[in-house]
Amino acid sequence: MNIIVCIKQVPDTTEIRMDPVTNTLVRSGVPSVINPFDRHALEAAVSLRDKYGGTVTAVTMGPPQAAEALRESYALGADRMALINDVRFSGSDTYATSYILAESIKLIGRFDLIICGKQAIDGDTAQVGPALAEQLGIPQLTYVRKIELSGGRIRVERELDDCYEAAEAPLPVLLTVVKSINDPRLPNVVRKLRANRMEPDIISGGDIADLDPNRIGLAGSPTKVFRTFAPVRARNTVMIDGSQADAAVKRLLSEFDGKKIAI
Amino acid sequence: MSEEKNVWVFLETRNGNFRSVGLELLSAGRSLADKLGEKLVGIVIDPRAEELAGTAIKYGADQVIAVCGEVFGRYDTENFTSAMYTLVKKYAPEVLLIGATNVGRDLGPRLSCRLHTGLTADCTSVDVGADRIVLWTRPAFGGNIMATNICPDTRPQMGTFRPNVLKRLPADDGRRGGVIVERDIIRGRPSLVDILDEIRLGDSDTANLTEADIIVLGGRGLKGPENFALLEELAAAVGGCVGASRAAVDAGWISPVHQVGQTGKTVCPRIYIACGISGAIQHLIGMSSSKIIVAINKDPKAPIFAAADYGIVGDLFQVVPALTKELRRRREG
Amino acid sequence: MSRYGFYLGMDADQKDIVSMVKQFAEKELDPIIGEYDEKGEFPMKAHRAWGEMGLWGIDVPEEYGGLGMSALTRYLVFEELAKHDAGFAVSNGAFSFGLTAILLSGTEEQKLAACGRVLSGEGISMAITEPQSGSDVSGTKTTAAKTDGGYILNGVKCFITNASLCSACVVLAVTDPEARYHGMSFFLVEKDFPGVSVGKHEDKMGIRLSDTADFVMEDVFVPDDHLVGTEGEGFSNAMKVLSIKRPVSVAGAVGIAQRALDLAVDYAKTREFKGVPIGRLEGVQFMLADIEMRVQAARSMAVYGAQMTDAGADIGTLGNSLKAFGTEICFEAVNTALQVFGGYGYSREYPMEKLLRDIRIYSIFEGTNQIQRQVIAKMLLA
Repeated sequence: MNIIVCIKQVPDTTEIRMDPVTNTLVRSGVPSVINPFDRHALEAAVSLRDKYGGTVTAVTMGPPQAAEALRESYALGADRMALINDVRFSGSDTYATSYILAESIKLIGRFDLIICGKQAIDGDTAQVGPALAEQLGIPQLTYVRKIELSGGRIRVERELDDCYEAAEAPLPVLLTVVKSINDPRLPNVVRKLRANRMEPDIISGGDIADLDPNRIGLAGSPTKVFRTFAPVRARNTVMIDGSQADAAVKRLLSEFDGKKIAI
Repeated sequence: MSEEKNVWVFLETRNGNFRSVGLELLSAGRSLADKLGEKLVGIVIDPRAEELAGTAIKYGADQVIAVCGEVFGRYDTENFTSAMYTLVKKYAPEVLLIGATNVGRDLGPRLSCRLHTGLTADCTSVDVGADRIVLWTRPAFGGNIMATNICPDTRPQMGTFRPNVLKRLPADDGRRGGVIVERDIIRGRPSLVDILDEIRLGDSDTANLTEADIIVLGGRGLKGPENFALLEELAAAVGGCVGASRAAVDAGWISPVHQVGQTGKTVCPRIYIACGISGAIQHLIGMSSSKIIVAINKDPKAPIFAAADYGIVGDLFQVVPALTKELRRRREG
Repeated sequence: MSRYGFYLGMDADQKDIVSMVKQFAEKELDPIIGEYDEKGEFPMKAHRAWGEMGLWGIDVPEEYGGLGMSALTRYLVFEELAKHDAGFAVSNGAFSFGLTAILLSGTEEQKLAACGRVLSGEGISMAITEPQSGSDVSGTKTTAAKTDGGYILNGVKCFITNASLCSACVVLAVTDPEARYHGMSFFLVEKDFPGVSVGKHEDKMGIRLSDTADFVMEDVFVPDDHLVGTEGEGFSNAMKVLSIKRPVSVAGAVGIAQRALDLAVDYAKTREFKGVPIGRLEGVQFMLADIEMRVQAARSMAVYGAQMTDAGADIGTLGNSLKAFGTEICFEAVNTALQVFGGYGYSREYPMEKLLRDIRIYSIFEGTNQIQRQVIAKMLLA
């Protein structure tokens, strides 16, 4: 079976900081990683491939350095790597991205399953997966924590707010997965060294027949960023010496009592 | 483009009743509708939609579109997307708000794509800017930055809000409003998805974090899984819940059901007690100013103290048990 | 992490490999080190994860299906690993000790079989030390008496790394008592040969995640095809194995010392004396600089040794020098780092004391530093 995994190279957001002077993100020195949810998606795809046979293609839309994320995907078990890169694609919002991804995936070929991570940790929107399914006209199953395949149909368990839901659909479908689906393997050194000598397949705008210029890049993005700013959290912190635990606790609770904070 | 009017709120239901998030969204919708000088319309898609319409009006809607049908007894992507699409095409709203629950995050982007319009997810605040364009503000990069988006050229302008971010308006039993009933509005091919079963979560599978009034947060400073027991005791003493940072969950010290923050659960307690967390707290909590944060850390220079309301510089392994003891004593006394 | 806390000349592949080792250690080792150090147990789960990454093949030549890593790359792997836990690094490396011996002098079948076992994670350890003879290898008492179709081995080996874990052990035994250094031979002894047993597990001061135990042989029949090399070659092969492993084994000491430095630097930035971080006090600054110099020196020597090995040079006593000097200055480095930590350095709640416990063995095992000096002096005065 042919499985496509959509991955994204993102900055490690636990390391990222705001520059308080310029009010922009300090990106230099922040390592780029495969979006953590996409690692779970890749692991799910590779496990299915190991069980049922087939090919796993890791796909990403990004700048040239995103090829490194594809090589990592190869080290994590993907068979093929595809980089969707074109200067005209930059500035795309989730809608334009889903259009470009859909057109590119059609180029890659027939697929049985597309697996995405729940969300990317930089954009945090969780929109591309469902939008991509819509562009391709296939069903989507989101928040998947368990996958079973049988006879051209897929059965999943979805992790909802307050229950697990079992659902089934015929292939092809698009899945978005949650962390509890698996424990992703560590990368394989042999595969990584091999991947370091490989280039991903590149898909650029010129490869896509009838690419609609009004649906790509900034022009093709219905949402636009109006402004960005640092989260403001001005606080007058009341500092309490905690070297004597009982005294510190008494002080804290008397502060609470004074402000009528119930605890 | 100027034909579109009114602010719509998708009022999610579950088991024949409204989920809280939809009613919370009516408050934001109300404010937008007032600023735009338009009506606030609640959209209910449920077999009991007609019966529920009155409640929507009580909580601020001027009008309700009630879509009835047994097929809507349970959320299905295609059924609901198709229904919403038909409604939007028919009535042309200017703005559409959806709650960012599992359902909302499944429906929102599918619908916005089908409508070829823009969606801004997980907003924390919303406003109307110049030229009647809605300003959608939300955190990105793990909460390190706030971004305000606009959807200037396409309609409806769409946005989702997480539960517990907005507060419902007080219910006004005297409010009246119109109800439009729609039936048979699914167009196109039927859904291919079969929903087979629902498995309720046992208590061990879920922490009631999303409803908790007080959350005791644990991070790397706890040093090991066994120390979360101290936090459990404190949480029990205040009737709260234990939450954990991604670092603690990734280290395998506690189950992921306790993870809060960007990739965990969204919570909105009144009080946080952060133990053994030294770094930037915005990864874990929203920037809403209504929360009270107590931080306990032995390093007086820990960045968390800048964001906390109360900072106790001390050994959490002493302070937490002392706090638990004192709170238990107060409850008994 | 200090700005120069790693080898500056890594190529892209090496950077990747080190990064993957770091990922492995953060996921599989860091969370469990405290518990396993307390218990004194080797984490098999981590060993399996190491294998899943394809890293069991580090010491296996490419032609036998391994990664065939250069000595320098192996150095980098073990320095990174030891920054997390040196005990795991020691046992990890020891899974292929016996392989090195077999690759040196074994038959083609033996080499193939040995490579297979290392690639599968079973590993082959090496046993030289005995209760009465550590430095004095000529005092080896384990005997291998020739018999029909093989040899009968009798003896006790002690302080053997991975004795409990490996499926077999390359054992140094006396085949010709008269010939002394030329009367010892290497035998591949399977753990499941009748008469083989693994003795008590050592309760060590440090490197407690490594497995160390006695390897006991009582009338163990070892077939002819398990003789590794020819009779009488054993001692010189054993010395060669240690020599080959030397630059890489010092990696452990450097990794420990680098970590100690990083911890001491962080501590110096936050610990206050009269309202000022102690890192502003010149006395402490000089201590930190002393640690840094020593770590760099030890690293430089080991890297030099690894590079020369890769270039095909016979590094000879360069290996003994880098081992003796490198391990001693790393010990000084860790000891000084602990001093910077003050009382907290002595507490088991903080990571520093473990580093001192771990580093202490490095001037003892793989040839005591006193023996290293003997060998160096002999070379100088020859």
